[in-house]
Amino acid sequence: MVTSIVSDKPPSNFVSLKLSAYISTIASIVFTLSLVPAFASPAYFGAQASNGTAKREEAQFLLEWKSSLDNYNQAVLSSWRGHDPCTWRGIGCGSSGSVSELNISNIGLGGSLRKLNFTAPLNLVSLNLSVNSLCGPIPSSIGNLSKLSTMSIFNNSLSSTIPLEISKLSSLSILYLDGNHLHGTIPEEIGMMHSLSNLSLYDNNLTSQIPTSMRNLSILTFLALGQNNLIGSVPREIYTLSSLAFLSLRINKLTDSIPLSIGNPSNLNVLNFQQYFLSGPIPREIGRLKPLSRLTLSGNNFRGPIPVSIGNLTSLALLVLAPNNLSNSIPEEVGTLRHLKELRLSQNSLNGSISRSIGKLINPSVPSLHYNHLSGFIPDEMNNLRTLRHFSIGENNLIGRLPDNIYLEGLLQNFTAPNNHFDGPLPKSPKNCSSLLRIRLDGNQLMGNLTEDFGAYPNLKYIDLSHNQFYGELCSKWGCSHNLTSLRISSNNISGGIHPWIGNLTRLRVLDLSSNYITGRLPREPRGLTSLLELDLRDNKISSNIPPEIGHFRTAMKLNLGGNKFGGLIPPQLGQCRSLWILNLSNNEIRADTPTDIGNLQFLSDLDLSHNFLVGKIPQSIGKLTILEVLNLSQNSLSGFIPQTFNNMLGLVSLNISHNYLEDPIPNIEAFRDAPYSAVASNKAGLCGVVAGLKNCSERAYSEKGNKFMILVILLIVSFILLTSLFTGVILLACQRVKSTEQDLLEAQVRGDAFAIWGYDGKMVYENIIKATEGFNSKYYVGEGGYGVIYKAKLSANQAFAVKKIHASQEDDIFGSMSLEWEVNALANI
Amino acid sequence: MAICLLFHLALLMLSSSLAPTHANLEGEALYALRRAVKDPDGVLESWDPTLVDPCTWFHVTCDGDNRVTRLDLGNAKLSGSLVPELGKLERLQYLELYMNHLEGPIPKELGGLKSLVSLDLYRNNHTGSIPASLSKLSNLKFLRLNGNRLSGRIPRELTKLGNLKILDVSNNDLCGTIPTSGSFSKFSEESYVNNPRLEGPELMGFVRYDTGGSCD
Repeated sequence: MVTSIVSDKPPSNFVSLKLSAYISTIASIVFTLSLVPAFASPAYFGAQASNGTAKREEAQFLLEWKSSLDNYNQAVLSSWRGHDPCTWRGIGCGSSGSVSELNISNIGLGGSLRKLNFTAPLNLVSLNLSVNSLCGPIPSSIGNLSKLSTMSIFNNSLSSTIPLEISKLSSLSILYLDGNHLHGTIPEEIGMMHSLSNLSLYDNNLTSQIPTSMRNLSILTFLALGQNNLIGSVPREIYTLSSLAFLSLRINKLTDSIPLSIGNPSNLNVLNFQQYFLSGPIPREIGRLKPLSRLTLSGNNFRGPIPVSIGNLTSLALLVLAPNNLSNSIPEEVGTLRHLKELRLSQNSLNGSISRSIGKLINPSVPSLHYNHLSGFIPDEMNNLRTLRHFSIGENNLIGRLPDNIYLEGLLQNFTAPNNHFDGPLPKSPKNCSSLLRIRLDGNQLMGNLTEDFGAYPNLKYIDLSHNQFYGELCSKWGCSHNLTSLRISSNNISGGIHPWIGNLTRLRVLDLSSNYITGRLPREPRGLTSLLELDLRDNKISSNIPPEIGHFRTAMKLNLGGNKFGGLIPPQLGQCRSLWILNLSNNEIRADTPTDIGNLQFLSDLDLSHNFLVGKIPQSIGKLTILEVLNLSQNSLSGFIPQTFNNMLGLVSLNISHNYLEDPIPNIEAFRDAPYSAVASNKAGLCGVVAGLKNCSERAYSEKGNKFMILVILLIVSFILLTSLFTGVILLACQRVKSTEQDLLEAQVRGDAFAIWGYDGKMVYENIIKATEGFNSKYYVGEGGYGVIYKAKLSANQAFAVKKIHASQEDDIFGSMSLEWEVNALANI
Repeated sequence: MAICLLFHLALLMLSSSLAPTHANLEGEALYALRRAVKDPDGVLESWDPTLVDPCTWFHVTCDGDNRVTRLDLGNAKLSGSLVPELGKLERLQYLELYMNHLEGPIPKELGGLKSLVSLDLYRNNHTGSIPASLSKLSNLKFLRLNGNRLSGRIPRELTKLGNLKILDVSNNDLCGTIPTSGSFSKFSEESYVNNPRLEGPELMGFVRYDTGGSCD
């Protein structure tokens, strides 16, 4: 069972919702603490008397840096020319006329800051170079910008250490260096930056400990140190910085636990300890962080129950405890968090039933409870959760009905509840539910009529209803879901046919309707399905021929039509589906030769054509499937020999050719040598070879080269035996001749011993024949053969012989000729 | 300026909930691959890291425990490089990335794929040497690295791969001599053709392998 559940992705409009919410809460903090001092100090600017000389110096300093950049980047700063920087792009001047602001963020600027020499008498208050491609080090001269209040160089490619000199910036209140490649340590001296309120070093390669001096940053509001390689423990005092509202230490190598003191008077609004290697129970003191609105403790190893004290965090809007190893049931108190929108408790070991109180949450949009051990019914109270956007309760042991009304507000996008024990009908859905993008209800016991119980989902991308008890025909309304990429309804009770509307689903990648009762034909116009990766229709009752249009599935990797009633032949166009790695046409009624085009499927690793009525030979081209690992041709009517091209299929791990009419030697390849007898059983008696239990072949079972050699050896042995016999015979006869009388010999001839005729003294026989035929008189003429005239010679009283007088010119050629011998035999009975 | 910074701050805060759940390590490993390659045909479009596991992503196959067993991205027009994170897919059996435009080295971390049966990286532009760490893939049956620009020697450690049925390192720039011991005894010359600097099978017991074959 292949499953997954949607969990985390808020839609884009949701992002903007959250943005507005946070801008309202954070803006006050940031503005009051940091930005306002930077821009609202006229005295500050006034102190800088503007004169021409100073301006020229500033211009020169900036132009020097510009000239260090390459041509492209100089062009980006094309407005930087002349002596009055106040008119240049990204330059702001104070009331005194001196440069106070350098803001060239997000203009595609590349190059190094090395030549940005801050030793010039600059009165910069704000430096913003963010979202560019700047590389190299942060110049240490930055420490000279004693008036600097804001420094923001996030999202660049800076790759130095953080210069110690930065700690001289006693006026700096905002420091954003996140999203660079900074390495080394966070300098201990950072504790001297008493004006610092916002510090973000997030997403760098910093490797030090968090300096204890940071406890001196008494007005620090925002601290983001996540996604570094920070080690050691967090100085306890950080938790008690009275102004700290945002603390994110996510994804580091800190080895620490949440201190019990965490609940001391605190203004923490956001706390993120994602993937922090924390373990043990979540301390109940966390409930003292009353202002907390966002708590993320995901990806740790927390055990034990969710503390009941969580119910004290009445401002909480986001609670992410997934994944951890939390157990016990979800405390009722979670339901009292009136502002909670996102509740993510998935991938824990929570058990018990879902508490009724969760149904009382006022505006939850993302309850995410999948991958737990929750059991029991979904409380009726959840029927009223109409603001849901992502509802994820899969992979639990929940029973009963799915909650009703959850579609009604038209907000639900992801509805994932696979692999539970839900039964009964689906929640009622409006006729046209355009919000739904993803439905996963596979692996339950849900029941209902597909045509009647499903609406149209014009934006649906993914639906999986496999392993339920849905019946009826495929819902034609889905033909309008033009974005649908996966349609999986395997193992249900669907009947009816596959209608041509399926061809409208031009983005469909997976169509799995296996193990149903689908009848009828395959649509002949699957033109729209040219993006298919997987077509699984196995175990249905489809009875057409396989249409030649199957060749359109050029991107298909898996094609399974097994267990149907497909008849006719395998269309040669199948050879065009060159991306296939699984092809299963087994258990059908295909009655034809195996097409040679099958050899074109060069990436095929699993081929099953078993249980059909395939006839003819296994095509030679099968040897082109060099990647093939599994081959099943069993239970067909294949005949002839197994092609020697099998020798190319070195990757075969499993093969079965049993129950056919195959004969002759089996190719001597590893797959056959390792195969059990059952893989070759029930073929013609001539099948022989290397499989244990199969009879040994004659020597030509081996390769053709070997065959020739063996035949030669056999011929030599046979010739040797014949020659020896002939030689022995001649010797024996010679000995006999010495002892015997003429009469004895004649009698021996007359007894019909062919050997005696051939081997005897020709001259004496010849004289007898001349005597008997009276010099080949024509009255003894019998007939004429190919090589001469035949006469009847009566050599004794009871025995007559046919004698052939051979034409003299042919004499040399015909001796030893088989045809002569046959002629002699034919005449023997005259 | 102020608006820009505020927006950044808000984004930073949002990132705490947008990030994928980190138990989804296999999804992350695959997503690292998605980030590292160019995908002009959008074959990785369905690879959404916010899904809890990658089992519903196309071209990914999982087992019953929702662990990744196959990655089928042959002939997918991918370019870019492989990522070491792939080595975390400890139940992966088939890594099929043949016939793409992938370049750079074969990460040594692939030696961590302890269930791997088939490693098909043939017909790409991979450079560097064949990592000796592949010798840890004790279940490996098919190793096809042909048609790349791999250089260096064939690591002797690979002869430990007792289950190896098919080896193809032809059409590369390998050097040194061809190992003949262990499972390598059954491979024919075809496995090695078109490596101009690769010399014939080493003579067992007579010369040390590293004295033959130019690898300079």
